[in-house]
Amino acid sequence: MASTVGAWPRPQWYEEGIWGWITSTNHKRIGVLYLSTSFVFFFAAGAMAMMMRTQLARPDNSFLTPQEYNQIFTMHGTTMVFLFGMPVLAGFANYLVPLMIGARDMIFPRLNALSYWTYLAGSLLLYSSFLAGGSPDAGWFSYAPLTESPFSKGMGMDYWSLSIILLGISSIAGAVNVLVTVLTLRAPGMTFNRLPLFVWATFVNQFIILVALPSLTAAAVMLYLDRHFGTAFFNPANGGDPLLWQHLFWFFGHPEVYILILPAFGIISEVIPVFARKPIFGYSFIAYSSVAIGLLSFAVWAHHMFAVGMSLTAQAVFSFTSFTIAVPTSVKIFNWLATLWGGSIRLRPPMLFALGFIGLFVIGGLSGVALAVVPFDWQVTDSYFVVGHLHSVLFGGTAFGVFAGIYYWFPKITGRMLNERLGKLNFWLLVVGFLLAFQPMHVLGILGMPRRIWTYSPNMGWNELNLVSTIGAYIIGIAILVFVGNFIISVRGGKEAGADPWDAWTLEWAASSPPAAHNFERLPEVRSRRPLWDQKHPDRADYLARPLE
Amino acid sequence: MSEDGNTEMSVSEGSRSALEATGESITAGTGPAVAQQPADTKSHPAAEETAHRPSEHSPWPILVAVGLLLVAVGILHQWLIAGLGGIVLLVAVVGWLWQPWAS
Repeated sequence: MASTVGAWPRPQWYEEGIWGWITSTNHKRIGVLYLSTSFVFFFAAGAMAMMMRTQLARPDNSFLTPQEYNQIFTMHGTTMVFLFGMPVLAGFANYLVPLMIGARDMIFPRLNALSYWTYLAGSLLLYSSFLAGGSPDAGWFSYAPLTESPFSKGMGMDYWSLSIILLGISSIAGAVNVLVTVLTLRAPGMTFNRLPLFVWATFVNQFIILVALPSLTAAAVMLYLDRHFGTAFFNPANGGDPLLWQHLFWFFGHPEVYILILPAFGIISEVIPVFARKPIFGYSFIAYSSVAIGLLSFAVWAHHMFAVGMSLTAQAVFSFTSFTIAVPTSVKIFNWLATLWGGSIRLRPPMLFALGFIGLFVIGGLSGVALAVVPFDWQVTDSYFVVGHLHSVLFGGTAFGVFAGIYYWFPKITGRMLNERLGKLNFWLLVVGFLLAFQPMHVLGILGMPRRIWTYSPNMGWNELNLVSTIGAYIIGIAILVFVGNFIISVRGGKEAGADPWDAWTLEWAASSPPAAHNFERLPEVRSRRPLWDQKHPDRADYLARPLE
Repeated sequence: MSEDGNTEMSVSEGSRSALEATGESITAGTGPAVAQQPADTKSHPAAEETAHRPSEHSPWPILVAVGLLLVAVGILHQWLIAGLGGIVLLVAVVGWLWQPWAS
């Protein structure tokens, strides 16, 4: 017998205009706000990337001044990490987690709204630094003592630290909300071993946020105190220790990589089985490998600091832990490949992005393993090899995962399908752009090109590879324009999606597209990991099947 | 083997040929049924409560954020603005707590 969760009148406010959006505490509206705002910042950071690549396209270029270049690479990194990467995944979490676990909303709807508005406030504060005499210019990780007042005299770093504090409040509040929602609002039958893998990944992701973010938030407070109240946490001239900043920052900073990639893993784990027409291979291994990654992510931070003069023992320990974290990540990749094996694969845009994710993320993963080798790290630290590595992970991984998720859930959110032909064009342009933009960076780093340089001499041997990288960045720009065009065309006149256009299995597809304010008129019974499959095929329901021997 | 004590996965994690896909539809679960497990009916009390709680409108979260923003701007430029931000924050928190939870 299906469990019914009561018919419910559609509240009048749901149809209201801008006031309805501003004061809404509904998780779907907040999810849409997160997604749309984060994409605005994605476009802004992308435009900054194009400016940087234009500057580096040829030697001795003067498209940007050195000061402008420093500000732009700082704002590009800060924006991509804090204003796009984390919030876009928070948008997915907000929109999807309650739907996927069969809940009406998040457990603390007002706190959820506060998370979004504090994120927006922090973002606006950061960008208003452009109007107040100059944005921050010390890189997204703001190493001390460069960021101390004797060396950064403008207000840019003050804006940066206060924005980070606001963004930290937003993320921590959001993490509490998601964790408690998953713990307490699951529908009857939705045990942890039946949770969709996206929810598993998001659950671990939010746990990491809860533990890692306070370190950065505290460091930002300490930096502000150093700059204005005479404390000496980080400035060696006053008895402080700049390495303390690096420890506090990277205790957040490396888990941050997994904050940015785990939900993308979750998205891929949802997309691949649906488009391979097979249940996911190794559900438990994928779920528990997320937990393993979450725990190990707190034991690897000092591999960012191999060059600072750590003891050999510390280097050996952090090198070992950095190798170890590749194991649960590989477990996921092997399970996705095993899911594809023998499947009836549909190469629709979400699946293309998921397959692209696997191939391209592996490039970033392997260069990460290389960086865990201490002598190699010494050679390429602070070089373009590291820039190539982090972009392979975060663009090949997070961005491709986000695009897979957008193409997959866009019909649920808007009720319309994205254009498939434009979606495929979007995908192939992104793949070509990615390979051209970021792979030459690995070679440039090995050739000795340092990161964060404004320009270079023509006799360094870096000219052609930099030009190729810039061409790749422009192709990525074109791909993003194709996506924007597709979005506009499809929102206005895309094919109607219906509730379940992909013939999928998780609970969100049991709701209408877009879902009603209260999500479900009637919840499918949850008796397996694929409740919608069970409902559609009662004679072949998962819970009827013979257990494994 | 059952992993959660309640239900059995029909799918042996890709190892059964009977579950391989055919065209657009999957042929999962074609083996003989051996045990129909009952669905769990229990859920956390908070889930029941929230299931019947209407979604609400609340102006207080955005006002709290505005208060925090004013405090930050005030710290950067003018303590008077920070004071104003503090008042906005206080009003917003009181309003938040004062508003009924399921209006």
